[in-house]
Amino acid sequence: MDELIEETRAYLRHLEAHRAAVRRGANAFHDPFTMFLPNEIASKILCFCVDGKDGVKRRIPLALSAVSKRWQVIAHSTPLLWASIRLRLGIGLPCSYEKDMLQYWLQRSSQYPLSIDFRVSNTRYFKERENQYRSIVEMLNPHCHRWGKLSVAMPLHLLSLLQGNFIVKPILSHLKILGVNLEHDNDNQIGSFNLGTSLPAPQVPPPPQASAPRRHFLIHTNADATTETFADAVVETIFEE
Amino acid sequence: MVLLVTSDNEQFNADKDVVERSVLIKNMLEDVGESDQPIPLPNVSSSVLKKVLEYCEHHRGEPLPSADADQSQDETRKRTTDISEWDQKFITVDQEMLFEIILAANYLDIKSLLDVGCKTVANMIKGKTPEEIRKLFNIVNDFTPEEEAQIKKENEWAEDR
Repeated sequence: MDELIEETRAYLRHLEAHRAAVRRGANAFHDPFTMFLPNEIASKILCFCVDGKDGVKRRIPLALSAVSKRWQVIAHSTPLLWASIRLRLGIGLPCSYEKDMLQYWLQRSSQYPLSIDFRVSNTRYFKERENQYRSIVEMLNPHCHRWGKLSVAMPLHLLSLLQGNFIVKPILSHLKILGVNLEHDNDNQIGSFNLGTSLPAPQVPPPPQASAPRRHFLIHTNADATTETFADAVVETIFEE
Repeated sequence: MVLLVTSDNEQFNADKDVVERSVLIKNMLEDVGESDQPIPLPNVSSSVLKKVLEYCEHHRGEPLPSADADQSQDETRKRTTDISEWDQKFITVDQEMLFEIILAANYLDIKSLLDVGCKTVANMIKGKTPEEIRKLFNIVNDFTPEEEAQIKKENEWAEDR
């Protein structure tokens, strides 16, 4: 009986694969993207579907790649669609989802400049998930040469994990740091965000009184992709009451 | 005047400064020099060329994007789907014609028209679910169950984001 069930399952899988292939053939005659457009034009159209606001919703590239196999191939080979990364740790989805998501986005964005909006919330799960958070933060480091816009809100000791390097010319044009205060955060590495060992790091005043829960550090470079150092960076510190 | 011959053997006479909106034709004219010889356009039908010439006529005299400017404006162009009122009316055509105009603009190398066409299609797609996009373009879902499962998993990442 088991053998018969397994055979039937295998046949069912074969039929499903065949049905998908037949449908792909049908799409080749129905879908204007397949019928008319070369890949580069189809890709260009998908780029226009991302309206350019920072922090593109994840559902846009995912929806575009869920239309059909051909659309998926085009979407996955269009780096711009995946160049805007929004990460929210500590709320909603489990860490494993965020890690998988980040991996796919980094891979699919190829060498395209990244716009990263990364927030780690201080929740009761923080301690138990801290190691997972660390590994996710560190996943960004090999791509530091692609950080175009970086907006991070996280406890300062996690911030210190972000590292740049001098191997390739940086393209960072906008940096926003929001230090999230943890009740149990006794780490004094405030403002230790480091974009390279000899690069100037933002100078941050000592921790304010307990009533000021969060601090913003806005660092605007000269917004020029040719910026080679942060020597000209304007550092603006805002204290939130 | 320049004489153009379409894929269906129809002939169109147009002013030089109109047809030179097309980089392809502009280059051809520069290569050939002064000549009465017709320019064959084997990839463009008469109905499509008529529309293309209407676009070029309306935008006659406007500066052509230079190669350098195009590179620097590439990001900006990709990031906005605003279309002028006249262009919107011009591009209000059936789906098949829309895609043929895009192809012709690509072949003739008329970047501004290519952008108008691509932005129009993008505006049709924006805000729609995969199922709605399928209906719009008469596409069937051709994923295998395994691929569907992966898509479902990825879409869980997108919840509320």
